[in-house]
Amino acid sequence: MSQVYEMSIAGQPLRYTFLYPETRFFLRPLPRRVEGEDCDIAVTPEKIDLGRNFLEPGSSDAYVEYRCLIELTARRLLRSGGCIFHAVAFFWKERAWLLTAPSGVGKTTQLLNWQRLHPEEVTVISGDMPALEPREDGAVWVHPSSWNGKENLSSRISAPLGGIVLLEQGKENCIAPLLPRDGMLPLLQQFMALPETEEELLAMAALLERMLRTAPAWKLVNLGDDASTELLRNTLLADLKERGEA
Amino acid sequence: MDRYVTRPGVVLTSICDEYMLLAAKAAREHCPYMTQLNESSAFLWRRLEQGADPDALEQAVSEEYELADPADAREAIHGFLDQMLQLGYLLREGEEHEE
Repeated sequence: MSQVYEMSIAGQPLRYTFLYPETRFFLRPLPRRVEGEDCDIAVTPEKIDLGRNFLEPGSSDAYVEYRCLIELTARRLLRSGGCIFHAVAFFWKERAWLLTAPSGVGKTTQLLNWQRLHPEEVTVISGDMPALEPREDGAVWVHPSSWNGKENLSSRISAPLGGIVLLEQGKENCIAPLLPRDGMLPLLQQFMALPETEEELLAMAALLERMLRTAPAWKLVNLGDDASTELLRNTLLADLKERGEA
Repeated sequence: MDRYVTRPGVVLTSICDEYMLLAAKAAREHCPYMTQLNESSAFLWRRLEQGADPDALEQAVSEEYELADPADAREAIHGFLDQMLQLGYLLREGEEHEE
């Protein structure tokens, strides 16, 4: 009989069973053992074989299972309208801000620049994959998750979404509002769920709609230098002031 | 005349008034995961979901966009149908049972 563990993500207690006992030690906070056999999420051996193809050769079975849990957890959250999103999330001015882009574009660089230039201004929520939760009042809340990237940056802070910044590398620094027409495809691709059903697809689309309706979005083309971070910070500050929320 | 059906598992969705086709798992073996549509393409897609054939599409477009002659829309409609067929979002009627 498999042992069942519980872990809370985006305010939801989720029950897991693991193929490999060591897998749970990758998760933070550590999942706690619970009674019963019912579980929400379990990785199959077939998923492990498939997942291994996307990871560095030599990755341990437990690490592969840990990574496979991302997609399963993201899909499970879709049932309640939430998901896991590929972004750096940080807390600033009482809100959560998402810096999103495909891997290697410079999300962490922007965050580390900001922390260095304005120490104590920002706190990391999740260094790689925050969990998103739509609430009844219309807001989208941003939570930490167990998947925090190479640098393992995270905290236990949650906050309502303040804004979304899509990053792109460029030869000069430039920031502009991200129109839904231009942002839909790249933002949808940042959700960690690969929906299997029409219901899951529609839930993911509804979540993105909610995000874009409730928070401003920008596209920052950047060099990853200090000037790009100051440009971003000044733009967000000016927008908050304009909306009377600074 | 060919009739067309939308592939099962493909949904049209609107995000902030922009349109997108999204494909569920089974459909993704045959078509891209996601594709953006403009408003007129979304209009055609909805009519196809309701079972419209190309003639009915011409009629619907001419009414919606107040064209004098339904044939004026023919080229654009067939361009859209060809593109959707090529991408795998549409099937010729009868083909859905062959896969």
